[in-house]
Amino acid sequence: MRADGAPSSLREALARGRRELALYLAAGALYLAIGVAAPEFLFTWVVAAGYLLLMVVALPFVIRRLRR
Amino acid sequence: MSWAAHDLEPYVIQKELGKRVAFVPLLVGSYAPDLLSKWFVYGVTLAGVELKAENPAQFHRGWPGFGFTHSLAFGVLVGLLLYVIWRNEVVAYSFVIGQWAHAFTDVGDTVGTMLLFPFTDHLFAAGAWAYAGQTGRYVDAGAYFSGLGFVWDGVFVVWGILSWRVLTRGYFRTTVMAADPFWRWAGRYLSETTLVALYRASFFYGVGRWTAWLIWAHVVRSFPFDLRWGGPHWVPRVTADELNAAPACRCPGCCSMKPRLGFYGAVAVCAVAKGRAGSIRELLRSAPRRAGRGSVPRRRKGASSPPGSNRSAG
Repeated sequence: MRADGAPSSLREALARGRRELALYLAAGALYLAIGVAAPEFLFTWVVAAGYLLLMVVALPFVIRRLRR
Repeated sequence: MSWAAHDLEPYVIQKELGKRVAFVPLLVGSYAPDLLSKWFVYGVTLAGVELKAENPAQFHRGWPGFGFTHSLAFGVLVGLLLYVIWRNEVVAYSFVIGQWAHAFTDVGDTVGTMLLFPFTDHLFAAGAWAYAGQTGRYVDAGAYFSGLGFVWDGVFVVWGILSWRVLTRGYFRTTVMAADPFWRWAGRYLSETTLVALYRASFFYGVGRWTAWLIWAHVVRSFPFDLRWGGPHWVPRVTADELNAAPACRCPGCCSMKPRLGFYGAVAVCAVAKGRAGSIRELLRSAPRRAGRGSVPRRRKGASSPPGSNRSAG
């Protein structure tokens, strides 16, 4: 760990946040697919931020709740 | 105009300046020049009525128009206003840095920006890629992602990815939250996972839309690539001398922005920056707010002499 809080190497970062990275990459891939099919989806930051929150925060939260 | 650079520049700046900038004002500053004007450039339809600027380029970058939002003075003015409201100089100058980054980035197209407004309404333009905002969002996207504009954005995509450390949760917790009062306030209401997702949203947006528009322009549609200076030449573009600037301006600013001179200038700047990199690093290390990072000098692998000894000798 560095003084600024970041991991000292990419390997360390991947080891710690592999699942989170996979979630973001999956969200990104779907964002690209929707964006290419319907470019209006790419117009505003608000839509992107809302989409990201839905995919990496709300959806995993709901899934965790349902599993319990 | 740029389609992804304004989303990604704040992360690159964050990486370079660490705790000395506050991320949210930096990001707001980076978006600020287009925040109130871009929708009117492309036009929107509300209840069957289309609202669009009669001369989009003039409205967006010129004077009279909203071009003043792309001037350096506008950033300083809003920065001062923020300082009066918040009494926090980091918030104020972070906004200024973000807004200046936007203003300088937009110099790259054929219309350019009124950097020195209100002292002059002259448009400083490098003319590397075509300004085609007047053609509407889709043609503009096709043109932008067929010319040098997408290459310029690509530089920030790569640079942003190379700055991956700023996207980590640990960095957010230790550096971003510590420097920016917004996150500390938001942290009272939202979970850390939500805050981190919001912090990463612009990066996600920038990289995502850059990739998606590129695919859309060349796979879904067939806009031809034209990577010549000022291209693509198949789109009707607007140039600075069609707006409020005097035609064929001979001022030193514009002369220095001609392609060849601009290239020589860029090489010279890179050479000077490389030569001074050591001293800048030392300067940053000695800054009081980053005592933790600068306390232990880094040593290159296999280097026998103490770090910095070569640079100080040169």
